[in-house]
Order: sequence, then C-alpha cells, then structure tokens
Amino acid sequence: MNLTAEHQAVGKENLHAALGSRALRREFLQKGIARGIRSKQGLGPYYFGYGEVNQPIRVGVLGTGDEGCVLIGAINPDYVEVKAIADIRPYNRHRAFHGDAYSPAALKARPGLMAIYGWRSEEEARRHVKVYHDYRELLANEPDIEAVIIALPLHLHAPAAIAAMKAGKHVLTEKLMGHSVRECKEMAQVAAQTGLYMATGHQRHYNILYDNAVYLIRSGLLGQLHYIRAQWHRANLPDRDSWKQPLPREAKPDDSLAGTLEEQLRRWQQKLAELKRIEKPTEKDLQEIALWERRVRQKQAQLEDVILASGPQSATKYGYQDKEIRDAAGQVVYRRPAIEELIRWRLWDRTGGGLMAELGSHQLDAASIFIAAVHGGKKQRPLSVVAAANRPLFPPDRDVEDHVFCLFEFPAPDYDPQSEDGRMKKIGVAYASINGNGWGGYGETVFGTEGTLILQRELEGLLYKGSAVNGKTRVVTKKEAGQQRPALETTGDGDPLSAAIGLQGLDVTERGYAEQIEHWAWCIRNPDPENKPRCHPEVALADAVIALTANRAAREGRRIEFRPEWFDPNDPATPEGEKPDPGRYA
Amino acid sequence: MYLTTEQKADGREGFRAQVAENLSRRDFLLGSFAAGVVSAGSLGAFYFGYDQSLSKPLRVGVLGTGDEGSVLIGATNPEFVQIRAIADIRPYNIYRAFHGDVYSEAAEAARPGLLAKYGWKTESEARKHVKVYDAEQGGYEELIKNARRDGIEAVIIALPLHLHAPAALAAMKAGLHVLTEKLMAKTIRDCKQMARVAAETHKYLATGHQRHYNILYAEAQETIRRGVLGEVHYIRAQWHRGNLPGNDSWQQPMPKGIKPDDPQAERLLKELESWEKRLAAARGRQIEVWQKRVAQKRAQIADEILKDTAARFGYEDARFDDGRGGTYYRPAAEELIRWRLWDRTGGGLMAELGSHQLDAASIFIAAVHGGKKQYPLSVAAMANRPVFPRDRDVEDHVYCLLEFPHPDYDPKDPIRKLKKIGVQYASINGNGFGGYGEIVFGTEGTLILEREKEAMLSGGKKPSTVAVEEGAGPTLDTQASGPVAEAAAVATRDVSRGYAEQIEHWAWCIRQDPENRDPAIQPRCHPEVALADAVIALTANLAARKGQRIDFREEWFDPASDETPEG
Repeated sequence: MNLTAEHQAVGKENLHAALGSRALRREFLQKGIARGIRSKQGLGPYYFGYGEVNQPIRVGVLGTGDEGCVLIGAINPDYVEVKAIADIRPYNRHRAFHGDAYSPAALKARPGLMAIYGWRSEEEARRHVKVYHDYRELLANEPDIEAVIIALPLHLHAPAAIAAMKAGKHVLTEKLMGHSVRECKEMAQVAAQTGLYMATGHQRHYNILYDNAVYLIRSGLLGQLHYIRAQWHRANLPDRDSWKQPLPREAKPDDSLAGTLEEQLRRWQQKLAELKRIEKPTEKDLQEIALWERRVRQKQAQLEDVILASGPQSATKYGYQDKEIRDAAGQVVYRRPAIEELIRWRLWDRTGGGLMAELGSHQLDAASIFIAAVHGGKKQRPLSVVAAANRPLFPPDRDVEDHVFCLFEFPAPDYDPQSEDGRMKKIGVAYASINGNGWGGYGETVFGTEGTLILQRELEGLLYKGSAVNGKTRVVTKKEAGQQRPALETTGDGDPLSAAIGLQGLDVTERGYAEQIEHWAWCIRNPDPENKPRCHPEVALADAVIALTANRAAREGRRIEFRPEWFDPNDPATPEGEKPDPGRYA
Repeated sequence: MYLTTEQKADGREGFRAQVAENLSRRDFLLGSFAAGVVSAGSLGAFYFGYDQSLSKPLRVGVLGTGDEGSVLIGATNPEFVQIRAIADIRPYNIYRAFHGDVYSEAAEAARPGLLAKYGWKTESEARKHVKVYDAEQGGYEELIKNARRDGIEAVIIALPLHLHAPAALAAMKAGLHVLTEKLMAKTIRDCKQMARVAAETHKYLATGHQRHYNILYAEAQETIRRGVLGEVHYIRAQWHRGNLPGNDSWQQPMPKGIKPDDPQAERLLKELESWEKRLAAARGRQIEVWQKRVAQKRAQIADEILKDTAARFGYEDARFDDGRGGTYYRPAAEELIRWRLWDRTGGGLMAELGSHQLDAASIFIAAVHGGKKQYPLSVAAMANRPVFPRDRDVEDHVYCLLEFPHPDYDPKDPIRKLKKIGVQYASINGNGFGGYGEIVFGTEGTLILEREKEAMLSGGKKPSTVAVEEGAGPTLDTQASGPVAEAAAVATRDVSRGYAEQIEHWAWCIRQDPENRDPAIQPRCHPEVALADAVIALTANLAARKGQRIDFREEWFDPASDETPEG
C-alpha cells in the first residue's frame, strides 16, 4: 500500500520514459523542443495551443482573499491588466496589494499586485488599481473593464457572474461554478445569451501533468482502465483548522480562538522591536526588519476586519447573517455573528459547499477527464453516486462535515444499459476527503489492467506496469487483433534516453492557474466559436453536478442516479428540483 | 501518498515500541516472555491463554479439502488435532489432502498435506489412519453419519459457502463440534440457525476469521485502546488482486472432458505434457519434485469424473446469455470447481475477502469503545464487472462505505448524530497495485497493517518509560533492550496469520469444557461474532445489488431474533 522513495523514483522515471518514448512522444514536444521552447518558458501555452495577446485584457478582481490572492499571483501581466479590485474585508484588500507574508510558501503563492506589476508602494499601485469594497459598485462604475475574475465566497459566484455578464464583462470564476446546479445553469444560460466567455477555475484542465496523463490513458498504455481512487487528507483539527481563521477579539469575544490575532500581533511587534534594537544591522538584519514590518502591517490589517462586526460596514449590510446552533434539548450551543459567516464562509451551508465543493470537485473533475480519455476524449457523465459524510472530530462550530466519502460509477466503453452484462461494465471511482490526519496527502491513482498511474499533489506523476513498483519499464509496440498499440515492458535499466526526453516536457511545477488565466484572456482577445476555455460552462456545470449531488447523496443517505438533463445547461431539470431562472437576478 | 523506506522502518519500530508498552501492562504475558518459555512456535498458546498441548488431541474430520481446506490441514498442530477422516467429492482435493500442493514452494508451505504433517510415508499408510469419504463413499454427509463409529468428535468445514450451513447443522445435530471456514454461511438466516443449534446442542461452533488469532491485530487493537492514535476517525481497507481473464485464481482450469469449449480447456493437458518433459529432463533432486508435480497434475485431470458426479451432489447445470450474443453453458462440475464465481454457491468478493477486513475494522472500532463490540450503522456499496466477461455471476470490483458509531454518537441529537467513524473498503481485480491491508487514521497517528503480516505506526503518542517494580528485575525502558523489548520483538516477528492458533484454541475449548457450559471458554470468533461479520458482508452485497444505502438494524445481529436483512 506504500511506496518507498526508491519506488517513487522508479515510477517517475517510468512516466518520463513513456512520454519520451518513440511510440508516444508527442508532436508538439518534438517540435517545441526543436524550436527551443522550454518548460516554464512558453511550453505551457504551446501545450494548450494558445499564443500571446497584443494588448492585455482589462480586469477587475472580485474577492481578494486566500484564493483571489493566489489568482492574482498567477497573473501574467502580458495577458492581464488588473484595473480594479473589490473586497469588503480590509485584510483582503491589504493582501491584494502586499501579498501574504505569513510564510515564504504563502508569499510565493500570494505575492500581491505590487510584486506582480513592479509597483513600489501601495500609493503607486492605487494609481493603477481602483479599490472597491462592494463588488457591485465595481461593476457599476468601471465601464472600461472587460472582464472579471471572481473569487468571492461560493454563494456569490452566481449573482456576481451574472451581474458582470449583464454589464458586458467576461468572467473567470473560481470553482465551484455555483452554489447549486440551478445557479450554474443560470450562469451558463446568461453566458450563452450574452456571448461572453465564462470560465471556471478547475485548474487541472491546464495542468501539463494531467494533460499528459490523459494522453497516456488515451493511448491505451494502461490497458483497460477499471478503477480510480482519489483522496485529499488534511490534518486540520479543532481550532487548528485552515478553514476556521481567527477573528478579531472584539468581533466575537467568546470565540474559541479569541485573542489569537492580538497575541500574534503583540509577539510580532516584540520581534520587530528586538530586530530594530540591533546596533549595527547587517544587510540580512535589514531584510529581516523589512519582513517583520510587513508581517506586523499584515496582522494589523487582519485586525481591521473588526469594522465588519457592526456599524456602517457591518457584514450584515452585505447579506451575511447571525445564526444559532441548538442541541437536542433546544439549548443554544453555538452563536455565530454575521462576520464569522463571512470570514469562515467555507464552514457554512449558506455560503459554502463543504469538502466536496472545495476539494472533491477538483479531483472528480480529474477522474472524469481520465474516464473521458478511455471514451476517445468524449466527456462522460457518472451514472450514480453513494456517499457518507460525518463530523467525528469538530464541535458544532460549523455546518459542514469533516469527513466525506463517496463512490461513483462511470460507464466503461462497453457499458450498455440495455443488456444484463453491459450494465456491469462500469468504472468505479472511490473518493475520500478527510480532516484530522494528513497521512497520504492528496492525489489520484488510476488503475488499468496493464498499468498504474499515480498523480500526487497536482505536481508529480508515477507510472508502473501493473503492481510492479520495483520494475523499470520502457514502451514497446504490441500487436493486438491486427492493431498496434503501446504497452509497458519491464526492463532492467529502463529507458534512460526516452526518460531524458520525456522530462523535458514534464519538468513543471505549475498547477495550471497561470495557464487558465492566460488562455481565458487569449480567447477573449481572439473570439471565435473554436476558441473556448477548457473549463467552459458545460464542463464546469458537470463538475458542479457531480460535487453537489454527492453532497445530496450523503445528506439524504441514499444512492442517486444521475439524470442526463442535469448536465444540460438549457434543460430546466436540476438535482435539487428548482428550475433555473436567470431573470431572478435582475 | 506513500511512505519512504525510512518511514517504513521507523513505522515498524514505532509499532514494536507500542507493543512493548502493551506487553509491559500485562504481567502474565510479560512473565512468560521474560522467563524465556516462549518460543515463536508456542506463542499463540501463551498469548491467547490456552495450554501448549492437549493430553488427548481432538479427533477431527475435515469436510472439504480444496484450496482452503488444505491450508487448514497445513495449520493443524498434531498436539491438538488428529485428523481421522476427510471428505471431498473431487479426486484432486483428496489427492492434495494427502500430498499437499507442490505447484510452487509457497503453495507447498501453505498446503504441505497430511503425509508431511503426520510423517506418513505413503498414501496407503496415511489411509490406515485417515478414512476417506470421496464421491463414491458419499462425501461429507456420510462422514458425518459415520462420525461416531469412526471416533470423530469434531469437524472442520471448508466446503463451498452454500454448504457451510447444511454441513454444520448436520454435524452439530450428530453431536460434533464445528470449526467452519468463513463466511459463516451464505445467508443471515442460515447463520442464525447455526448459532441457535450450537446453543441448543451445546456444541462449539467457531468460524475461521483468522485475524482474531493474529497477534499483530490483537496488539493493534490494544494500541488503539490505549489511545496511542488519539481519536480514531477513519479506516480504509483494500484488497487489490491482479486477476485477469484467463488468469484468475477463482477460475481454475478444468479437465477438458468437463467442458471441451472452455477457453482454458487445453490448459491442464498442455501443462501435463510440458511437466512430463521437465520430468524427463530432470536430474538429481529435481526428479522427485517433478514426479510430485506430474502426479498432482494427473490428479487434477482425474476431476474429469465430476462430469458425471457433480450433479449427484446437488451442483447444477446452467445456461445464460453471455452478453455477446451467445449462450454461456455452465456444467454442474464448473459450478463446483469454480464455486466462488456463482451466486448459488459463493458470496463474491465481500464474502471471500471483504468479510475479513471489515471484521478487522470492527475489531479496531471496538477498541475505540473500550473493547465493546460495535455494529455498523449503515452501508452504501457498489459492485460491477468491468474486467471479466459474463463467465460468472459475481462482480470483479466491490466498493463500500460503512459508518460506525463514534463513542459520542447519539442518533437523537442533531449534533452528536454526526459523530460517526467512516470505513471505506475496496476489493478489485485486474490490478494488484497496493496489495491488501488496512489503515487506521487517528488524530495523532496512523496505523498500517499489510498482508496480515506487518504493522507500522506513523506518529502516535510516544510510549512511556515503564518501570518494573523492585524484585521483578531491573528498571526497564521500553525503548531499550531487555525482556519487554525482546518480547515485543518476538511478538512482531514472523507473525502467524492465525490459522494454527484458531484451530488450537477451538480444540482446547472443546477439551476444557466439552459440554460448552462456561461462557468464559469460547473461541474468539464464536457464533455471535461470526454472525456480525456475515451481516456486514452480506448486507454490503445487498446494498450493492439493490443500489441503495442500507441502515443496519440491531436485531439482525441477534441470533435469537428472526429479523434478517434478506427479510
């Protein structure tokens, strides 16, 4: 069940050798490398078949929290010019400009607009970027903006996207597309009516590793694909939970994390003061001082969120709600002020979609991409889902569950609902998203009758012939029923030459965020029915149907069979039963 | 998603340290270990609390001596059990019962055969000690009828699943104790009937879920009970096998005469031919090896008589749509030889493989509840057959999700009703990647059990330093060497999967309390435990086939209640 470091090295080499093999070497890899296009330097666009744009598109970013700042960090200024941002949280407006200096990893993922565009001060940046609190004001006052990137809480994706499109702006929204299938269909319909591009941020569609995985599956190298297992295990524990950030103390004095921010600020100020007392600071000390000044300023900005607790900028003014949770005896066991619904929106049913929306949707998206590959690239809908969701670990400080498990059935190529035998030809997908223990991390394992392909953390791929984790392999051509197809063969030394070539095409560390924005911008600049973002409304709708129906199966405790109409943006049928009505946003 | 070599080594070491801590808390075990009385061979007796031998070994008949029956014969300890009779209607199985399975070294180690076990030189010598009930002699039913005359006290049942209940019931009614292979029976109704008859007749009825006698599992349970993993919140188990069409351990080739158009019809003859050539070319010690193999292959081909006899023993011909525009013809002998593939005779992946691992999961969850057995709350499952054609009834992939109660679970409270522990299980064919095992996820550590043979701990609360009182020896540190560490090393080295121990303990219980009056003297997998395992496995099958999530009802687990999931 476990791979050693040596097994992992073998698996990586096998994958590279397959991609670089004579039988499977992709044309653009040959040509691209021949033309001197290198990985991380233009090879991505070359993979996905888009080019440069003459003039960057003018964009507003709606929502600049954790995820919005990741998207800002993924912006290539050659494609996108950020003209305005909107967020009701002071902390998020601060991070949009300055990035997230909490840790080196955070700063790498969220460098901030100043770093992306080379502005030296917030003042300078604000000359280029207009700042709004309410996204609706941005939409009302920025006729020059062509497109918006939406990274608001989930329940606002549909209203914001629809308002934007009605204002004539193209949309790239974070996943999940919408909070309900009804909303997704409304978004898709408005996109079709307005003729605007609407993309959804399932970034695996732009991940070169996944693109190559799909290519290998489609080549038949794994034999018959019969099972996929995916998982996302996170170590979050009560009050050590990435989805439950601390609030300013005054916002909720009896919160279990009350005082955390204030204590951090005090310690960081102390640290800064100590650094400043150094008599003859070295260059390194000065860098440290700058860093800690930055961190202190960021922590202060986080505390400024307190303005959302009450008064003129109260979260309630933006529709966030107070709530009480009661036990069996009717006793209130938890009180949630509106500001908490905003800041911890992933934990609440009204504003978020739980583990399936936030994590599972990406991985089931990947699974359905892989299954499409065994159907010659034709997108497949799942047939049924059963699920279980529970909350063994966390107290009633949330609506959402901390463990979700689900099983899906997808059609195999020989699936035939009309015959007794054909009905059994299904590919199973097992998924688990848990908290409390991060063992095993996250990734997807694809089981074929001749090979196993493992994708880890969106960044690493491993390939084995069946279950042989020791065996180095090369690709050979196998004749079967008069046709030739590639197959894995175990060899002592592997195929180092092919591995070296394959590595050229796969030496990537990008998860696909940058490419999805670039391609969206390129489509906007090159409007044509042929040019579509890879995660266009129909694809994103399918991902939402899968994730949201799994939630429903878990909550209702029953197996649900997917209906084809749910996947059709123009059909009024939805799993929740409410018909789409784009007019209701007017 | 995986452990490095170092993490793996650390994991084994981590688990050993916990076992040391576990053992140090159990004086009787530690005493035995420290006194040096315990060798790996007699570890089970010490560990599970029975004597190292019986003054009078139990006289036993073995019903069914196929793949699994021959494993059980291999696991019998002559100090506890004397095999006096065997029954099987397949010539091949009678042959293997005596001579073992020499197909490979691993097969021979698992199935050495009666000759090797008891030191008999020839089959005819062995037959003086062991009465044979083959098809001509009327099979297992005749063995049971003649048991008293033959001096038999108890039977071990390793017949196809559909015969567990009729054989066990007949045996108990004939005054015999029973150890049956898992699954207890094919239906819950049958399981309950068996449990009731066992109680009425005061016979011991044990079921062969061998993990109950595997020290790794017992120590894992103790480690969990002590809270080393923190709060246990999830268990994942799997059994991935590389079986493919034409190469399936459940679809053995048959003699050509049974079914001339079977895709594997030529295989046995071809193998025989090639093995005879190997024999002709063999030199030295290889001659004997190949002689044995050739003889075994001939015995397998002798199964051809089943063409005429299988139907007499209740096996059925069948014809059905093969899903490719033709008809699949299954002669009765195929139902017998490949009984795991058919609904009437077997129970599919859940019965054969899943039941063991969900049994393990429920043992672990019981440990979270201070050792009190827990029943699952619900199961949702899926089963399909993407890899194999319609040459079978059973599916080749089964997945299930079970929910068990967390200690804080309360179905009436809107908050505490979410306190459940999830168990995810998958049994697949077509790719053996990852093998088989169970992973227990706790808030402070992860415990991994692989192939019933290895346990590794990642993280977890550190074992405390254990001081042993004055006079009992020097102060011990569980991390260091010393009797406790040695004991832990013995307990985790060359782990027995539990087959031998389950037979020994069953025999010991029978000798200790022949009338089965003392509730304290019970095999670990007694009828109530085995019933629960069957309820879980068979209800998962039902959930998959019916395409619905099923909530378990407590009465299903109660042998006294007539309620069953089948209705």
